[in-house]
Amino acid sequence: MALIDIHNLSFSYPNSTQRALKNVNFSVQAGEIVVICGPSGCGKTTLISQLKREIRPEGKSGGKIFYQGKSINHISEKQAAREIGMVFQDPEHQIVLDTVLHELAFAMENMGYDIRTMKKRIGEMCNFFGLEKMLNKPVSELSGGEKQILNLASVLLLQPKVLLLDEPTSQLDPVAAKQFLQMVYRLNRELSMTIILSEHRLEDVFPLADKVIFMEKGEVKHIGNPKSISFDILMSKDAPMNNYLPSVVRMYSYLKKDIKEAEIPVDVREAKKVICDLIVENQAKNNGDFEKCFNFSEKPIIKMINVSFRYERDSPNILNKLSLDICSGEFLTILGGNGAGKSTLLQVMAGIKKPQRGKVYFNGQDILRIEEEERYSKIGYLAQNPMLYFIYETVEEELYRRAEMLKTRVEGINGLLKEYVDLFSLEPLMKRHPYDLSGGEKQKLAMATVLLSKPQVLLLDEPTKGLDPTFKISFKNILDKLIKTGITIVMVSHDIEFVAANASSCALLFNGEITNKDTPPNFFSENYFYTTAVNRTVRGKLPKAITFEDVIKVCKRERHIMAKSASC
Amino acid sequence: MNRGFASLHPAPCFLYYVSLVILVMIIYHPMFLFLALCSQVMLNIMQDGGKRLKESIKYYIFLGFLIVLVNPFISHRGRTILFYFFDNPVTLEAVIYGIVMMMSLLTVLIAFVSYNLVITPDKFMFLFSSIFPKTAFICMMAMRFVPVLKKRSQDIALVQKTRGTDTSTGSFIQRVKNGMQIMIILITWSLEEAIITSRSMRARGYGITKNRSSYFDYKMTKRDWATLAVIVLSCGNLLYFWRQGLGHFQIYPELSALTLDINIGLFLVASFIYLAIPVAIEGVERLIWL
Repeated sequence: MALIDIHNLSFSYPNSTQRALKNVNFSVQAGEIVVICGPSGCGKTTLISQLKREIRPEGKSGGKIFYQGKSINHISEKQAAREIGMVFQDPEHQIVLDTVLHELAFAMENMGYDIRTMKKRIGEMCNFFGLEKMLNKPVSELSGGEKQILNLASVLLLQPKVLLLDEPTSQLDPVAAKQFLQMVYRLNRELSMTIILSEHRLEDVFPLADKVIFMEKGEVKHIGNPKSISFDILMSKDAPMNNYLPSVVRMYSYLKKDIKEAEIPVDVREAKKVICDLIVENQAKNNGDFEKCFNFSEKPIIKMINVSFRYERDSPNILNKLSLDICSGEFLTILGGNGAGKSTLLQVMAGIKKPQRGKVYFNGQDILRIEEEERYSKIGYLAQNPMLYFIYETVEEELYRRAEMLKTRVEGINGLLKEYVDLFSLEPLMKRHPYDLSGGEKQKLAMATVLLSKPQVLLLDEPTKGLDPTFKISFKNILDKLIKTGITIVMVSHDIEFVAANASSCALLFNGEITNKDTPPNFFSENYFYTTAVNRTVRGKLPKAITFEDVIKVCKRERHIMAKSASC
Repeated sequence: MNRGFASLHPAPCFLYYVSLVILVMIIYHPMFLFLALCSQVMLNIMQDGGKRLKESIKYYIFLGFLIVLVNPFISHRGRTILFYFFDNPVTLEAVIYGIVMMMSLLTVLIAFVSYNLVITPDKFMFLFSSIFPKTAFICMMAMRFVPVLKKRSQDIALVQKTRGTDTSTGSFIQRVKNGMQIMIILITWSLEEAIITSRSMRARGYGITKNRSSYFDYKMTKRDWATLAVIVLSCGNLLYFWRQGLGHFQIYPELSALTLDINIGLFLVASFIYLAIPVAIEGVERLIWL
């Protein structure tokens, strides 16, 4: 008997003609890891919340869900809360209480457990997760990754049988995301816990999954184990869906003519075996191939000299004698670990924060000497959270009020406004409330309002965080168009794959200084671990290839040459 | 911190601080207040080397001096006129009263510094969650929100500054307007996020059972009972003496002399015993490590 059985499940939100879920059928065996993926808005979250009775949204539903052979509506409240645990997407807002210990105890207190049981379980759980050191800390001092681990631990204290995870790593940096997934994997292997996880970044979860469910517009499109679902998607020639597959799978499909299901690689280890044989060695030495064309002047538009910054008198330096030149027209990305000071660096660069030592020059002029209004309009700064920008009731108002404010400063603002509405495809969203937009749409709106002041430099703080592949592609296209207009972009990011494919140069911020600035191929190929999955796979043959487009480019040319020589 | 006085059960500690505050407010004897002030300063130094006290002591001393200086100019009661200030008499009694008030206030303030070291929010919650469980729970949620809202409003202010909504420049009215705008963003955004918090609470079974249990657990040991007894007895004793008029010191209308007789002696011994309790407990803790 399957642990969870879903029969013909459908669901529609009130006042909506479209069904959010349509005829969903699948079953989950005990001890399985099930990954639900698909573009944002495809019904992943709706599906998962159907399994968690307490948070099921209002609306009309049809079909049946069975839990251990019983309809999920008929199991007791206590059993439902205890046996089906859930961790949400945002690490911050699902925390209820002030300290780690209180938060851990919260769920058990709700169940009315006695003190002895609670102490025993918390003791055990802290051992498993290594939480002892932060037990009495206020929650506000934890990092995002630690918060998410805390949320997981708090749910696990009820000893659930099923764990529902709704995009649990989308707000985390890659290292914390991997740690979290490893923890989940360990729970599955050691306790045989059933795990249902939704995610659109498949790179990390693919090797762990027993079953992958691919959803689109509320329907299950493909279902199967990682290899068979890859095979299905590759065979269906559905291009947008292809983008959701891990890059090693996509690379394999381009290089191999006759795809075999059993051969499809799901991680770097397997990919290395299969793919390396497909690449011919000789042309690989030519490294200049992978440099992208960017035309930027040698003259720096922003120059930072020996900048030191700290938040308080007695706190350590976040930036330490940092020097950096950014040329006009460059697309620079700044990488670095969590808390390395990347966001601070951007804010100092934008002239919002004043460094204790050192100077920042914009076009040769001391940035703090430039009058504030002009400074902020010439250097556009987009913070990580777009929610900080929205004041008005509708998207339209947000844009027009901003244009109104800038009327005296920017010439032809109305033309510009139109241009950006088109560029960011905001037209259909004009009457919506900014808070009702999806994450990617919010990002676009905030960026459009920043761009209205016609900045020469655009500073972006992790703009691709939590975006699905489709959104990332449209975001990439927007950036490409902006670069053509001559704007300089500085972006802070954790998204190695995005950076590798798009940036003109990469810089590493470590220990308060820029330790390495280079073009993406040089930057990543020197790294051992901190590089793309593609590079890790093919580095033996093509050391400087960092995206799968690079690999394909070389291989296509090779085939071309081979075909030519064969015809001769 | 979990040693010395703070290692005791929160109930006797809480009782001690409450009784101390009441006593220094009702007993206006300069000798008693002086002893109380000294004992609290010493307690602070023994607890964390006076680190926490150093942060705020300059404001406290400033406040104290202000009272000493201002009182004689406002209050003209008392018989012994020292001099006239713009035709207003400045009396010795008012000066002494100012000093007594200063000592009383400083003792309360300094005791509060040490209170914060001993009664952590955890212990406070423990004390009140059995009496007002719901209020205690809301307090804990509120405490989580304080740093969150602070961080959020800083982030909003930073971003809005780049769009001309700045609370540090411009006319007063403009600044208030801008501040309101930041508040609006903060509130709408926080309400939005609160929905997630409520979902997370329900997902973990909040509200399913009527009797939530509580994780806090402090048990009264023999040592705690003994300390509680000493506190209650010595405090009761002191109050009894005070009712009998032993610690009476007259300021208005005319200052009485500071005499040392058997009554005052008895009273001071009783005060000393009461005030020395936490200091002695800290001292014993030190002896272990000698």
